[in-house]
Amino acid sequence: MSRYDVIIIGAGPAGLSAGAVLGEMGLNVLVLDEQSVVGGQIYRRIETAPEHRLKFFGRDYSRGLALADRFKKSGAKFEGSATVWQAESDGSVCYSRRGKSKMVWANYILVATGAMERPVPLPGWTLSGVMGAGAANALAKEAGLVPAGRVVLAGSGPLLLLEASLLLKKGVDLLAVLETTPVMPPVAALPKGVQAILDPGLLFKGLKILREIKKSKIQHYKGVKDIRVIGTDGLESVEAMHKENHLNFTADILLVHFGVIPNTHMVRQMGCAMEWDHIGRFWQPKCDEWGRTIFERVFTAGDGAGVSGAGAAAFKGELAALEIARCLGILNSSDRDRFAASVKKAIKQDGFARPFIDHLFAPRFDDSWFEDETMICRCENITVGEIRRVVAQGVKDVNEVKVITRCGMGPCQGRMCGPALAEVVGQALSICPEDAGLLRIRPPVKPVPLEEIASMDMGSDGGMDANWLLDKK
Amino acid sequence: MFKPEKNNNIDKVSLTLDGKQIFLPAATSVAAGLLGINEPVSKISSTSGKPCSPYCLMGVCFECTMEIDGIKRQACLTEVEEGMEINRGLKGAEEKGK
Amino acid sequence: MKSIDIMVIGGGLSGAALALGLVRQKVGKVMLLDQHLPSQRLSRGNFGLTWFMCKGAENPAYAAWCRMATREWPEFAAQLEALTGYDVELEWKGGAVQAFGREEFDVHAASIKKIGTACEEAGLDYPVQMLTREQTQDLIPDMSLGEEVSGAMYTKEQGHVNPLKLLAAMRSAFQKKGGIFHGGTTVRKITPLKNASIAVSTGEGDFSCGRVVVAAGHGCARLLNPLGETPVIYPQRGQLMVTDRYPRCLPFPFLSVRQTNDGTFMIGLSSEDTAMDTNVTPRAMNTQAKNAIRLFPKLAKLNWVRAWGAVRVMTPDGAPIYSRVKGHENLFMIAQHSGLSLAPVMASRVAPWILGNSVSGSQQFISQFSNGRFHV
Repeated sequence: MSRYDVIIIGAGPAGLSAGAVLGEMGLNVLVLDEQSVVGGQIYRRIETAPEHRLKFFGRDYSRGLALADRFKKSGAKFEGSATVWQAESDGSVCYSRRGKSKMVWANYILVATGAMERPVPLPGWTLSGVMGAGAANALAKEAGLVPAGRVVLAGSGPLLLLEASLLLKKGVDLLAVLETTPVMPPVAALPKGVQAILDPGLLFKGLKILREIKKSKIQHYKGVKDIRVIGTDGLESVEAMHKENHLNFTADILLVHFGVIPNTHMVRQMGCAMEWDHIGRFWQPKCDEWGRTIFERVFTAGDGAGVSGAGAAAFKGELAALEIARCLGILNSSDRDRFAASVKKAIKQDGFARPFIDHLFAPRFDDSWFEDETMICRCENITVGEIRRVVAQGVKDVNEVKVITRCGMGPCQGRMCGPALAEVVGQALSICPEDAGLLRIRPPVKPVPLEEIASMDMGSDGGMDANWLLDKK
Repeated sequence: MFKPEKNNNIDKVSLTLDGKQIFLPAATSVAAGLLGINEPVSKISSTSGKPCSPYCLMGVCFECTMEIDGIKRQACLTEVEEGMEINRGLKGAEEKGK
Repeated sequence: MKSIDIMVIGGGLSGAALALGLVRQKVGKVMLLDQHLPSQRLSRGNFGLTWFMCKGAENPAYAAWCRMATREWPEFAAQLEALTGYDVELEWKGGAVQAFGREEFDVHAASIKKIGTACEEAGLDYPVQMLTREQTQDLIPDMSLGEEVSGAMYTKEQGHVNPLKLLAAMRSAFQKKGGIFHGGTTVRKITPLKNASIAVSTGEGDFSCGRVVVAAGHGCARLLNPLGETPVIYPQRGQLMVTDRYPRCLPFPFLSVRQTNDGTFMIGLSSEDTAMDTNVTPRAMNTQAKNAIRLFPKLAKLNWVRAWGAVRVMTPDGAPIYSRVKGHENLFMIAQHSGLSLAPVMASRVAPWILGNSVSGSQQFISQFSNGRFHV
């Protein structure tokens, strides 16, 4: 089988819920994910999680069970360990799985690639021992691993504090939490606070976490600056400035977290138009209320389309699915709207506190954030200073900086350096990062062995069967 | 750097790491498996010559890329399998730098 | 209006090399503009060969012109590096064109004769020879040839560079010599003035220029159409793929596969007539991967990490266009494929020609590269 009604890329909350809705309607759906099993990041390995782990992570994790179960029963087909390396707006999808690459087609593609932690270059962040806080969370869900040794948490955002409370619960030797968020909330956040009161559950959760951290008596600093990692081959200590004081922690692990941003490589490779989120300082695909991108047959849903959390992601997956079903002639418009009404209401309710949180933890990078010596591109070993030198020679676009410095040219294709690159170029030119451009993403979105490409079955016509859609419908 | 939580009883499979036999829990990624047996270094960077360790564990950073059965793969997205051969190429770190 | 002596529009390999040649001549204020357009970035899509072998089979003047350019390459690169500190990664260890099977071998052998004669008539050598399969293998002891390789056409006297570093180095050298460079700038209009100078309206403001050279690739048409002449060129897409780094094992480039200074393999040289579409297609990747593995089976296990498409500037006979725009004494157009191989002569020979001071031995070629040759 190489032709589907819908191909969904990503089996997290958005992809699973869309897959379930479409599968239940009897459509021919293929869901692909890089991981071996469903769940995405938030519900990682949910189906095989032991009882104590479900309990430990609480409802935020365990509610994924029902979703995974619904998906499984829906009739949608899942292929794990499947890496999509090229997708096009004509409905073609190339992916690699178990040493073989193949090309498949769909009438509609839904990209649900989720979010990733914002990578923020710090002095020494390439040293062994420095990881994303999300990585520690993933290891706990996937393999029941707990950080061993002395841990420092640093960065900003609600998930940083959540991770702190989880580590405390596990009895991890947490030395300190270094928050870069200012002590006083920014003025812009305050009006949004009123609306946030409509979601008391979430606020209550936040307060509970803060109370736990306070009770634990670990050192918790706000408004921290100049975080740096000291070590030769691995992390030895973490330094920072708090007001006028030098902080110094001899540690084994530094977990960093600076909020999350959409994982956009897939939609960018497809050529979807992107728009800049001024508060979150990230790019997201431009789409309509159903998640349709500028391409008629390409949809996005979930955090990959704009960060709003797992709950909203599942709902948005459902909305996209309803519209795709209408396009495929399964639903009429009024039924779609009727089914969508309750979903839209749920999205609204889920999002009451979101603007407040977004403003409260809005990322800010002033001129002193990035030091010349800091490694910005881990793949190609390029420093912030090298970027600045090229900009000083008259270059104004991140893609031009890339061809000259190789920043963003390695295997990760700018996933780790792209956001910071735009900030550095923007600062050097005194413009918004939005105007410094966005790195172009070309196939393969992920590396593939040449032998796989060479032995791919291209079909007699190279696969491009333009009239197939018309023939079928 | 990481240790398994106490009640973590999972079947183990046998693999080869840099020529030596090791045992990793089944149903995990290679990256998580290696971190769990205190093998945090994944490769030597071909550009800086410095050791690298997994950073994101979700397929974004490529820091955990290692040669698995002859092909360089992201270890965090590769499921542990019986008989797998993993080569990290940790020798000659200094010569690899620019 | 600000006053500029010479304006070069188009900061790709050709424009940058020419602009560098102009500032070296000490002709006053020289300005170089580049638009940074995503669709017209062929200089960033270059394969990196400094090559003369096989070029000009249909045009003897072009064959000789390429040979002349490659002879100047080592010196050109050395000067650039000394001036700018950029390492353009020039390796001058030869180049080869592989042959699969007997027939292809014979075709290659015949081409040596034909182009060799053209070069000889221009007073130039053509140091190219056919190697048997065994002789080819001996030159690359660390890289096994595929079973079907019958031999190769080979020369010692060419090489490869990093095209991106080259572009950056030429722009930097241009600025170091006093040239003014503006990136990300669009030219809106070129207007000849009564006093034979030329007004250029740009995103950086309006300039009155003594001379203007348009080296804007496929952007030439938009700028020159209103003045009644456009270069006869057409778009031709090429797609390139790059692998992971691998320890050095291929000492010199083959036509479709080269190992770069940092260890990655570049695989390429597809050509399709696709208008301005720079997309990468799975079909081309499939064909190119197959060919590369057919040549060097070891490549099968390497990861393909990046690819891109770029749109070449092609003329009907493959040779460059260096032309004065009809009726405008001080307005020139440059449009060419092989901008990388030809970079040294752009600086050393085309730049003086623009200024009206021809270097001996150049005029006989440049005069054959007018745009008018396509209008007979």
